[in-house]
Amino acid sequence: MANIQELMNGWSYGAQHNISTVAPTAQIWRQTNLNTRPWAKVPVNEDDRAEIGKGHEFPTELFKSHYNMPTYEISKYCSSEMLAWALSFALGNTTVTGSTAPYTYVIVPALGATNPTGLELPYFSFVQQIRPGGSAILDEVLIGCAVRSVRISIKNSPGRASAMCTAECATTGQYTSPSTITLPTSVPLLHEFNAGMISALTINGINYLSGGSGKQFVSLDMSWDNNFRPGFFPGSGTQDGYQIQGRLEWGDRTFGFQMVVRVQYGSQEYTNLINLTTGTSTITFTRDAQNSFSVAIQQQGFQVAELGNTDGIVTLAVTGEQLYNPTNGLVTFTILTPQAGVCAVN
Amino acid sequence: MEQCWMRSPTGDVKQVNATPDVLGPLMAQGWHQAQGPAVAAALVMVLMQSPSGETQEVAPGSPAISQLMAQGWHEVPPQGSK
Repeated sequence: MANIQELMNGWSYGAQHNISTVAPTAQIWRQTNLNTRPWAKVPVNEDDRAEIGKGHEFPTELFKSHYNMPTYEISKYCSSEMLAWALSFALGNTTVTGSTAPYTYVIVPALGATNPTGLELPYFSFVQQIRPGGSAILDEVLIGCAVRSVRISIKNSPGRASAMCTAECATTGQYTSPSTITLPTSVPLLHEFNAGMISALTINGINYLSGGSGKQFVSLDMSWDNNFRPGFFPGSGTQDGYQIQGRLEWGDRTFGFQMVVRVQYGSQEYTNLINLTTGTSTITFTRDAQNSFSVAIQQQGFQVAELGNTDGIVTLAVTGEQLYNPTNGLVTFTILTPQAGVCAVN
Repeated sequence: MEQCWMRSPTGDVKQVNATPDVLGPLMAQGWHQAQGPAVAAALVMVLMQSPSGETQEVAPGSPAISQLMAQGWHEVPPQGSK
């Protein structure tokens, strides 16, 4: 028996060299997680129910089939380190600059035509342990994990929960147990943001920090989904006699954007929607000289604006529509963080 | 002005100013960060240790790492480091 608080999570901030090679131990963070579940491994068996010749319709034998690994959510408060990690692994094209801390990560969606690994994103290793050692209740490293989706939520509440980042992760089914990995004894200090640190908030030409629309912003949800394709194929590999996935390729990727704003006289959102107005959208968090986060949605219009009520205040729920700009692409994330080596292959 | 090396979709490697205004449009066209000539020359090996204490250097990313770990080998810090 073990209390779930004993569960220790760690994952590599550096990228694996390839899908089947575990990341170096030195690049594995120990991290906390607001998701209180372990990452389940789900081997699936099949039977001979459909085969005739047995004299009856009932199964008589079991066969190993495949690892049907569920996705797993890493849920964290927004920090410069976590955003750099989640977005680098989710979008696939990262440039890091700086010879000493802080480092600047510029991140954009990789293009299938030019990405060195085709439709595959960088892979990381995920460690989960409960009482590792001779009598471990759980001690394994999942190899070949990738970020399927990232969700960033900002809301008008106090504290760290006002800025959340959730990475939904997928994995192939390959693992090593016991992991033979010793997690660091402590969790690294993360430089977290909260909604009060937003220093720029302009959506499609509407500035929500100053001017007529200042103080009118309520909440925002932004997401990126890689919509992975199934990765089973001839030669994809096995684990314990079960077939595993040998690749996690992105499918039709989607960028989601929803925000809620208060309605007032002269609200610009309806006008922008009806006039098909598009423009850049910029959201920036600035914590200090070492930690900042900025997203530039290069060309965004409004798809839907729906009147509603949020805690007794009349609001508009606006869904953004991002257009691919021929020069600047879809979206650019820029993160300043003291953390080196995020998504680097070593 | 800090600079970094970038590789174009056609394989040309070029040094550019490392600002989001410069990098963003290049990356949106499919450019990726490349190692500069000095960095590319250095390859750090991974040091593995067997259950009996024997050590062996393995190239980073080699499938041999997983095979050794399956036999109880561990990664250890490079000799001479703290």
